[in-house]
Amino acid sequence: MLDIAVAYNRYSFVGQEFLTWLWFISENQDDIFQKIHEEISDLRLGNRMVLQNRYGDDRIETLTIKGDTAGLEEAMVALQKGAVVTEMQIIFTSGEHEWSLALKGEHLGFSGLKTPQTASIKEIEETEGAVIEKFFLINKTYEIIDKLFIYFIKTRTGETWNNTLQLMKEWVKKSTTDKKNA
Amino acid sequence: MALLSSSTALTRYRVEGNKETLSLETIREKINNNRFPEIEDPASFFTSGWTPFESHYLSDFSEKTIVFGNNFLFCLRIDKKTVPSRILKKMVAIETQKRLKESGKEFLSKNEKKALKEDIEASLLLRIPATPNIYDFLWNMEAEEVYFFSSQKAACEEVETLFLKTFGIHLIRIFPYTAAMFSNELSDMEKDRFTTLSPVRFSE
Repeated sequence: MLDIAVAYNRYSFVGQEFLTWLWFISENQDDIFQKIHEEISDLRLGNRMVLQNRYGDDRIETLTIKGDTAGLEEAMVALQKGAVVTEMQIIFTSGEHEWSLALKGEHLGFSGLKTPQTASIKEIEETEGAVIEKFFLINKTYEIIDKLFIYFIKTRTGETWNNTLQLMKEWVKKSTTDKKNA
Repeated sequence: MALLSSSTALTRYRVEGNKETLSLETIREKINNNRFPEIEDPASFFTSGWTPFESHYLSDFSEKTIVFGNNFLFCLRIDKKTVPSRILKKMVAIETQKRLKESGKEFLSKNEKKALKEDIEASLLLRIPATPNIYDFLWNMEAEEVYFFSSQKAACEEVETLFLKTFGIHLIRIFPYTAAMFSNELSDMEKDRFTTLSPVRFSE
């Protein structure tokens, strides 16, 4: 294994490519999600996305898209210009239950994680049960994100990657062309 | 209690080391030895330690449980003092004026200004209380994983340091490289290919 600090910086792009791939799959091949994890009924993007474009002279351009009415057209233009997705809100459902989280590509950490609601604690004796129930729901989040990530890594390191990359490039090109023509 | 709150941030770690020798009593003892100090040091601007999940401000573990289901659950408490910059600026301006008046000088030298600012900051730090921050820490021993309920860089660094100090075991953060390397679902060949990856552009 590489030195952890070195590996953290060296491979942070993989997490950012993973987020971009998730975006692509959610718009184009969302039937894959159920194959990856049978409990995923639906996975879609939320209303927040952060992209970054690094220039050779160490300048960093950051684009944040948020809000219920925000479209992802600007994000797509940024992608066309070479930006990467650094953070993305995703929402997934399993049966009637919904999870929502902001996933960061650099370290695969979560913020704003909302799990399905659990029962409120009325007595101190109920704390242990509440902790176990909440942890089960948090663990489910990791289980699903891990499955998605490993599926992406298998694709990224596999023979079909060039084909997937070509499809993603066409998706970006088509989306930005559609915007110009709109 | 970030774990039980409706919205939370999370950082995940893998626990590396000799865990087999850690009994429940050993763990309890080690946590208690590194608990948040009961008596605050007024001169300290940064204090950290473990506290029970059910009583953040009373850090005695003897009557508190740390076992929740198959997990150990306790909290990292960090108390930090910070002097608001505008208060510091105001006090420095008042004291500068006072000293100039007393000495009859027109200005203070660079070194005098620096010393004055440091003295005022130190005196203010003694007078203001520290602000506590509590972060839940859940250790799933079976999965050899830790879930730390924060994504703040400073809090993550502190928990990594305190965990090592307490148990003599390293926490290894899960991020793209470690997630791939620790995965049982990737073959050695896939892991080798992972290490040779370089970034791609998604535009023509």
